[in-house]
Amino acid sequence: MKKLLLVAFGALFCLLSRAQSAQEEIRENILCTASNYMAYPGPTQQMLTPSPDGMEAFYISHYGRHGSRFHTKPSMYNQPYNTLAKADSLGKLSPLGRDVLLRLDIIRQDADNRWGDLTPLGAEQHQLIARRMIERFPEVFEGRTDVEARSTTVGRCILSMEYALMEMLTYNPMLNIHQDATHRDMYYLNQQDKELMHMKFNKPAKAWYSEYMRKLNFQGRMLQPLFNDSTYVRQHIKTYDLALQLLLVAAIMQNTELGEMVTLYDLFTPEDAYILWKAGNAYWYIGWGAADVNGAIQPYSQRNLLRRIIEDADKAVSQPKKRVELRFGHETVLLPLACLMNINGYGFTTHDLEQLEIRRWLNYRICPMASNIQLIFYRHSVNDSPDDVLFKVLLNENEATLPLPDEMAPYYRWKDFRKYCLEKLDKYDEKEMKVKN
Amino acid sequence: MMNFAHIKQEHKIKVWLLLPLSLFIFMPLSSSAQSAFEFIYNNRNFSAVNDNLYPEDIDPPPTAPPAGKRPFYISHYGRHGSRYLTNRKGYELPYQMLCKADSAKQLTRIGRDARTELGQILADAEGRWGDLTEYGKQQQEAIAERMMRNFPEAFEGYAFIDGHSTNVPRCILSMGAAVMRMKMENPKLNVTLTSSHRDSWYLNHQDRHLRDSAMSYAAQRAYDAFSAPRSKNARLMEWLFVDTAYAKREMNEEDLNYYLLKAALVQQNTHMRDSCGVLINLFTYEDIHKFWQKENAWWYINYGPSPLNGGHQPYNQRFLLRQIIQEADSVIQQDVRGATLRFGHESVVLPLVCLLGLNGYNYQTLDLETLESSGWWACLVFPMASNLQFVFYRSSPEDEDVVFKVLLNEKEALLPLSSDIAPYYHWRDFRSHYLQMLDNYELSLGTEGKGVHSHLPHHGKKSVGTGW
Repeated sequence: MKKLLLVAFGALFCLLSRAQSAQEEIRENILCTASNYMAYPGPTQQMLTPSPDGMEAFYISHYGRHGSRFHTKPSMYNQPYNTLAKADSLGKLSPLGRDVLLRLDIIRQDADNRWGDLTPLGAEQHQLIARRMIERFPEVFEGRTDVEARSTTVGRCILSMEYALMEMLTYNPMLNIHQDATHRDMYYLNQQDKELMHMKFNKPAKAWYSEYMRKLNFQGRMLQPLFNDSTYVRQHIKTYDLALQLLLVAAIMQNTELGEMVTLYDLFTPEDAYILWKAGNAYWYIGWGAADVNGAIQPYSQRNLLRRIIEDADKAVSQPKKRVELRFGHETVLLPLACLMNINGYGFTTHDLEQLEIRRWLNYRICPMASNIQLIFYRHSVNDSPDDVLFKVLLNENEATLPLPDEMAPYYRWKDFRKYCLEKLDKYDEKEMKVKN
Repeated sequence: MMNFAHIKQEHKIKVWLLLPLSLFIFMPLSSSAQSAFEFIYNNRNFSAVNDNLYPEDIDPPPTAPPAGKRPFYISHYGRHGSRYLTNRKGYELPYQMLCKADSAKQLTRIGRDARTELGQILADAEGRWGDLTEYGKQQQEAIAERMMRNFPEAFEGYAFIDGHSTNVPRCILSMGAAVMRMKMENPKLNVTLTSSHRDSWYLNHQDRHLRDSAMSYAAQRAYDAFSAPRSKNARLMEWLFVDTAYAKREMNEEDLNYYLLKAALVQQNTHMRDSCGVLINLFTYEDIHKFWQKENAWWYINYGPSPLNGGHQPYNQRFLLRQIIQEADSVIQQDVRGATLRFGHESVVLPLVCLLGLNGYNYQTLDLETLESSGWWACLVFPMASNLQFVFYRSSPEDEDVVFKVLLNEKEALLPLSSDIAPYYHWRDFRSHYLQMLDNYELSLGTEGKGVHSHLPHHGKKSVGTGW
């Protein structure tokens, strides 16, 4: 027992010493403050745990967000541009302010009519993810394996799918690929639960978030150098809004080709960016995580998808043929799904937003551009009972943990996880919008 | 104060605009020898017009290119493949009529069978409005495969494939199906795919000014006169309803006749074609022929070179033609090989073919009755997956005499241009002739017209007709 405790303590110490705080990470790499607009960083885990003894991967079930894209709405670019343009027309901009205005103009022209479009980097992300999937699990992609790919009906998702599939074909032209993008699949690929949506920022959640923002106490001193008149700034500029708008434009630039030439990050100290990111991280947790304040039910917005993943897997494990199931969609699906599945403990419920960083609930780790969840299934042979099937979960291509007995981690019994999920889903009362005891 | 200056100018334009098209040598339209009725008699599905299947009888023996010239570039515009009906209304409207009559005990046995089948069709299509079907994917795959088989030199090694699609999923998926097949044939291909509003100005341009003027007063009158004797179907009403007086009072005969037949014909594009048979058998060959004639006339007026509205609807695709020319010019300058693939809609393919005057589709007449006999058959131009391919040849990258041929639905087609090597043409002849033609048109618009080609993201969505 002592030995066990020692090992556990050692492992914990190791984890803690390696894990940087979010603030440190951001100080090292300001791109992390892009939250969900962060370009896919690729896996940090280079070597995966070897397959369980004598077992072979035979089925991959995947949900992936589209790759890097432009902002989806012109207002994302136009709001800060208009604010600065108005100040400029009144002669209130400093030389730096005018420079930023010029940069914003270049940026918004570059994005014009490309709102939401997949960028070349986004295409590459999906090619590389597909290639690594094949390199890591080549046995699944042998011969005439069935690859069933489904996308939401949004262009950038369909193109992400195309790029992934083309990469797979380059590796093995024999693959039996079937792809589709139809409203028929939207009920699980991009479920929008209106009732739950209304609950996201209900009164208590709004009040709680406002209180948190007040505590963050963002001063916005970084904006002063853009203007030549501090009275004008005080009277006419909503500092938090403008700073956030500028940060979001800065954030998206890493996803585009123009981003190699133009930046807005020079306006932010890591501390400014960190505070703005904290506000964003809390926003995502309240809206899509299992926050206490709005009933800890938001992740259930993806109940159809989780049920579908289970149904598809049940079919696949009962069949002798190898199979790959790819699904392409959005971060507003992937993030709550990760919470619902309780990957890496992301499904935790708290009333203390400081817990997010302590427990590594960091949006840029979970749902950057091209983020993905892969379930890799293993068996000894086609004669294995479905009960013997093992699987592991990769979040953004790194092995992840699940809330299950972990003597084989990162491998888990499919039947255990299946049971865990179905029980959890069955407990959710759709009409009452709460979890039954 | 009212300003009439623009009206005068418009009047002037009309005379002007007829010129560029009519200056063409008129090509003989290809099918004039046969009547559409014969086609329909052989295959009722032929009458679906823009819902027609892509023809399977490809593989005409190609004409050998001039000595020493080899294909190096293909510039393509293709319509998405077979799809479901794009909106529920087309099924719901007749379905509700039949349901209403059924609840009033006014349906005959045939009427009830029709109602049942339409209900099945509706259920099958639910949630799939406008979706590419399996047949649609197969069409694109087959076209891509033939493209590579027929012009292998253009697809060797690391040849580029520059794919552009409109933002409509069935078009993106059509592009996906095509390039996926190409990758299977040659995994080295260097493929980039784009689907962006940024390309809408040429991939799916619908000029508001032109669209709004398509159904002019004269055009509407001519169309009404043409369709009046072709719209009703007393026999159908007798078959469907117990009491024809009830039907006359409660039903819109023209709508029912039109939408029921359309619903029947669309099914050739989906797996429902194997199980449907009731609806299509409600119609005689004559009924179906009339439907075809009406649709053909509608497309002629709205997207063809009809002088009833000034004859310049095909200029809707002037930006696309310019883009094709510019991109070809750029490729010709380089030592590269590959293809530009563009995916869009029939409401682009048809006017583009008319603008080019391909196979005589620049045919102009005020008399809609002559369309059929003259061979102006839209259905031959723009079935599902219809496509234009400009195939470019040269002897080496230094060769200044680049030649090309145009394939319409993979068959060699003729341009109203003189050529010593037809069906091949000298690129320099083509570009100077067509750029001049486009310049003339755009100059004729003056400043008023220049404002209309705004590149707003949604400009293609308004005022398009019954198509896509």
